[in-house]
Amino acid sequence: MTTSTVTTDPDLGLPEPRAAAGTGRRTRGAIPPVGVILASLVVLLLVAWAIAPGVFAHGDPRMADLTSVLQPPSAHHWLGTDRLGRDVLTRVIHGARYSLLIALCAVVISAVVGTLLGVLAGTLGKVVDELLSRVFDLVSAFPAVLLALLVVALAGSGTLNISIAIGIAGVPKFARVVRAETRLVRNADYVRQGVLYGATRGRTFVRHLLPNVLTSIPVLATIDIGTTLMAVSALSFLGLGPQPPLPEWGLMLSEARDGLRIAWWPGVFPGLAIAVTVIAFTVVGRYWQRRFEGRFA
Amino acid sequence: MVTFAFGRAARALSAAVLAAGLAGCAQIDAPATVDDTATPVHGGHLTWGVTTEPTCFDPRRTTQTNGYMLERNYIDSLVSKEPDGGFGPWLAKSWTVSADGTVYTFRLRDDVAFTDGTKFDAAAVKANLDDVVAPKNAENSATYLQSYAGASVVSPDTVRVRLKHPDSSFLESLSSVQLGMLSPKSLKLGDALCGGGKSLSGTGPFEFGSYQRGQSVTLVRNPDYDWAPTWAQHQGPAYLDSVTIRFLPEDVVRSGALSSGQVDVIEGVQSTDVSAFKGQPGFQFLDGPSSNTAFTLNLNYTRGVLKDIRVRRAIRDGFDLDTAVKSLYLGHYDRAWSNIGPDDAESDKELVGAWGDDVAKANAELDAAGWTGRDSDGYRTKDGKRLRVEVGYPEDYVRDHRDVLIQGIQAELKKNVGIDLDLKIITIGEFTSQETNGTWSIYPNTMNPGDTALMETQLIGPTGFLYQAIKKGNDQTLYSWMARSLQTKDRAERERLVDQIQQRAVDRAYIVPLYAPTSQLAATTLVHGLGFDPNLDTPASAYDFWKERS
Amino acid sequence: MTIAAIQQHGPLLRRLATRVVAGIAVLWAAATAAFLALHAMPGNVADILAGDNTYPGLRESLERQWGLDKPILVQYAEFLGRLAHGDLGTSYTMRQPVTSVIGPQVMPTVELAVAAGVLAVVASVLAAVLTAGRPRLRAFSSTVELVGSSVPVFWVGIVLLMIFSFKLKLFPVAGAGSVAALVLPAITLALPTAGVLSQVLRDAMERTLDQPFVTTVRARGVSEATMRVRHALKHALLPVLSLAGWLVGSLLGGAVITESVFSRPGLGSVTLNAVTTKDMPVVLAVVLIAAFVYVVVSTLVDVLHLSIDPRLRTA
Repeated sequence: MTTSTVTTDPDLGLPEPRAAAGTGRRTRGAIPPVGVILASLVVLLLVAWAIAPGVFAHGDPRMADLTSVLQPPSAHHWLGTDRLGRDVLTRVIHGARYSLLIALCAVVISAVVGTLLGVLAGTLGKVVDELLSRVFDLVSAFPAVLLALLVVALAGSGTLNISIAIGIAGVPKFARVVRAETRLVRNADYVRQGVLYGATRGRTFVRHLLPNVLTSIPVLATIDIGTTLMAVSALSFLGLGPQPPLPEWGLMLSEARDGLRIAWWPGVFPGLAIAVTVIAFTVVGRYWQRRFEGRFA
Repeated sequence: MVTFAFGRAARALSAAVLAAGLAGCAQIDAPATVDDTATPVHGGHLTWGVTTEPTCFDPRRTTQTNGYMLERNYIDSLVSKEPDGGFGPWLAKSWTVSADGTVYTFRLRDDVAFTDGTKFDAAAVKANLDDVVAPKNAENSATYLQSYAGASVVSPDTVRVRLKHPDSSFLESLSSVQLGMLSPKSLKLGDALCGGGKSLSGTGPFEFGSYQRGQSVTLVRNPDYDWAPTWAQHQGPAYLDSVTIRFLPEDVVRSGALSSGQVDVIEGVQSTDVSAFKGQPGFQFLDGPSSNTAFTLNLNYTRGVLKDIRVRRAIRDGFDLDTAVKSLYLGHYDRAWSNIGPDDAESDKELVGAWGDDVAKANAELDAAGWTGRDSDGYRTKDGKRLRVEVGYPEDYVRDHRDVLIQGIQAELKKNVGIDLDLKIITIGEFTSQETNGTWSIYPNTMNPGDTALMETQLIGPTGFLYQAIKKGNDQTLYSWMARSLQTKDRAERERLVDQIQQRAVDRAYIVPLYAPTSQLAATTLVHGLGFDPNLDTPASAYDFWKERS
Repeated sequence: MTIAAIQQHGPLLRRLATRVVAGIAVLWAAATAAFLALHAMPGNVADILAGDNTYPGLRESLERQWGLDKPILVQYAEFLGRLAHGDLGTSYTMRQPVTSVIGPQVMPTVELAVAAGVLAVVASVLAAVLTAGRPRLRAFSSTVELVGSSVPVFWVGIVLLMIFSFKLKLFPVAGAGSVAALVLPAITLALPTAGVLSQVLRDAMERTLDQPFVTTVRARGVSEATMRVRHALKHALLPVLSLAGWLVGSLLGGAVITESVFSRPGLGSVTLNAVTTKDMPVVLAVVLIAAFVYVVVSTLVDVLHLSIDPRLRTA
């Protein structure tokens, strides 16, 4: 399916202006730098929440206090309390750890497996390439949610299984980029010449491929964290992800939905957290992507 | 049998909700008077939103209790369970029991026909019972007929049933919809009956009309119906021409469908939604009885740290159950004292107020048991091992925020006594393997109402699914009482034994009963005749329902 | 067929044949994986069938009834044989043929997916045509798209439901069958898809607007609107065509969540139910159907591409 002139990876949720496609085109600043700075700050804050939630929120996110259930936001509970009297702010802050960690695990799985398969497809000749490319097509066209449901049906619900399921769904986008870069490097004149001058093909190859992969993969991964987080929260919303009482955002939203009629806060804030996180990672990732675009060309 | 139980919290809450102006969902300008002395209206159509879409419409092939209220509309039973706990006639006019309790002779009504036109007679009864126990059918209901030895047709209206041994739960089982009577023609269809349709023919007040999977079932009145059980509110055919039962599993959607007028009645009202209907103009709310088993933690007393009675008692007493249940369910449910529901006559009343919420004693028990260390998370330890007990809750059975209740207990037990109650939502497959190996630790569950002696045996007795694989460390005293309670014909002795069983199970903390679930109905005030099935605690069939013309 | 016709269509037909063979291979691989999956399940199948009930002989009779006592290879052969006849097996929990369980669920999902798909395409074409190459509008629109595709679908669904069904009572709360009941689910499902589509479309349009022929066309005095719709959009639609496979996939996947939020019948809710009740035959049937849809869609897209762009035929 390489028939289109624009390389678009819909799995990213965003068009991916690849180097080859960017010839002679101005880089348009869709998001003003102030937005990027803001987004970077949000990402930093989220990472800080995930690493040391205790610094930002006192108390135990699992600690129920059945004497103060469903308290609206107040000076004491900034974001109110849920049905078990747990502080919503504390849970949202601690939730960053679980939500981001699961998303990160999934992205790491995608990136590692995707890079390996991409290199294989790019080097092992036409048959392997064609076969793997078909598999990439199939997996990327296959609904990620359905794929994850299948894994859950087979292996049971839970954090690790969700990471694996969503990780598998994300393999093709990494594999395709790495495959393209591998082929580019393989066919590049300097590699051919290097071989002529007696350098081993493998070493030359790795020396030229590695820098390219090492810059493009993290960028891709950053954008991917946002979209992966969406998938993770959808699955935990469906009750297939982390188990209660973990303060995972999708799970919190799911737990709060029945009570929305009388209390909106336990559901609104985790939903907001998901949206803000996805936006922040996407904005930062896209900005990097544009910055690096010039280097790839 | 309708009890209106509302806590102060709920009232305060509904007032607050009103004040906040959020009750806009319930603004129908109809007068809020419910006048059930009014003359029932014949005819009309009603839409009923329910929680559960049966995976199978043949009740003998499913264990989904929530589907029984639907299936009752087209299936009648041989005998009926009366609200007082006794048994009355239904499709059988009368019956006699032999002196040794192993032969039941039923005299049948001779004016009953299945909706497919087949006459109901002794041969049909025999065909039904034989069908249930036939191994090739692998029907779930066979579990109720384990004492069944065979039936013989004495005359068209007389059937004799032989049992392998006396079985005090036999009539109870016969009265359940799971052993209801289907047309012999239908029985031939086997598993195809699961798909519903006209071919699923019983003798009920409605006939199975059409089924759209994921959407609804439509039931059509059986015009010839004239054999309602005595406890029904009327006799003769059902009032409504037809009933559409809509499957709305999402709680928010179900209550929203009622408040926006898409359905007339809903079943399964979340405690957070009660205030939208209770006391609101244009709506009514009914809370059902609780005679099924309470939601209970079963503690595997034969294994691991739970072998120690002191640890079990610490779990039982280490938290304030009353507050937990009241605040989680906003005052709509009561805590339980026994695993038999409070509205069942055989629930042991002596247990009320007799146990629980004694943190000091729980801590003392754990100290005495040697769990004196503490780890960095604040949990108790012994020999460097954390006091951890797993609660394995199969995800398919999680409903009504019961997992949240356990989380509340989890937090309290951590805070109060340093026990790590580890809630794990597991799969049915995982539970099945724990069950067959006897390796489960704590299993939370409820059970359909049924014969109390049989319920206790099936829950914590030798033939129950929890303990049948466990052959070491079982409480033989308890087991012997269970065996006697099942076989005795002396009602007083039976009640005494059932009381003893409940007391021993709570005292030795084999069980920690949590709360007594009830069914709820909410409806517009145009709907009348709503009630609950004395057999099941769930809403009754739509037989007595009628609807005012608006 | 004339020689000229064969020469013209030869590569096309050959390519089509390759695709069909590859498609069948994909389906066979999926089916085999499905069969392996069925038997790698934790927990005995007979135990799952028995559920909470136990009585002597139940497990054995279930195993006989479901053919679980036969050798695994025989079961595999029978499984493939049934599949070839369009028989997707029997549901564990519903004890009915999977085809009769899934069959009636196809239409509601197709309705939802088509409505959402049309909505997403219309919205993104509008957004692209109006905002491509116009910095301010573009910034606004891409912010909206970013937010639209970043807010969780289930959350959007619940909020729409609360506002438009419960409070304003504009749309029915649940169900299928009426057009009104389709509005909110279709919007919910279309939102993230439209976000992605309009970005792709705008990117493609901007690339087109940068091309020299645009200057030529403009010089001829063609109005800006005509230019955008007749020329730029037409060029931009081709890359979007290659997204068709992804579009179908994302609508199908999104349907699972949307149907769950809105209590709609359909393939999504059947799948979710089957997953939670461990009804593997149903889960696997849905997966096989999705694989089948993918094979059909991607083959069609390929053929369309070939017939639209003759240059590719020699490739």
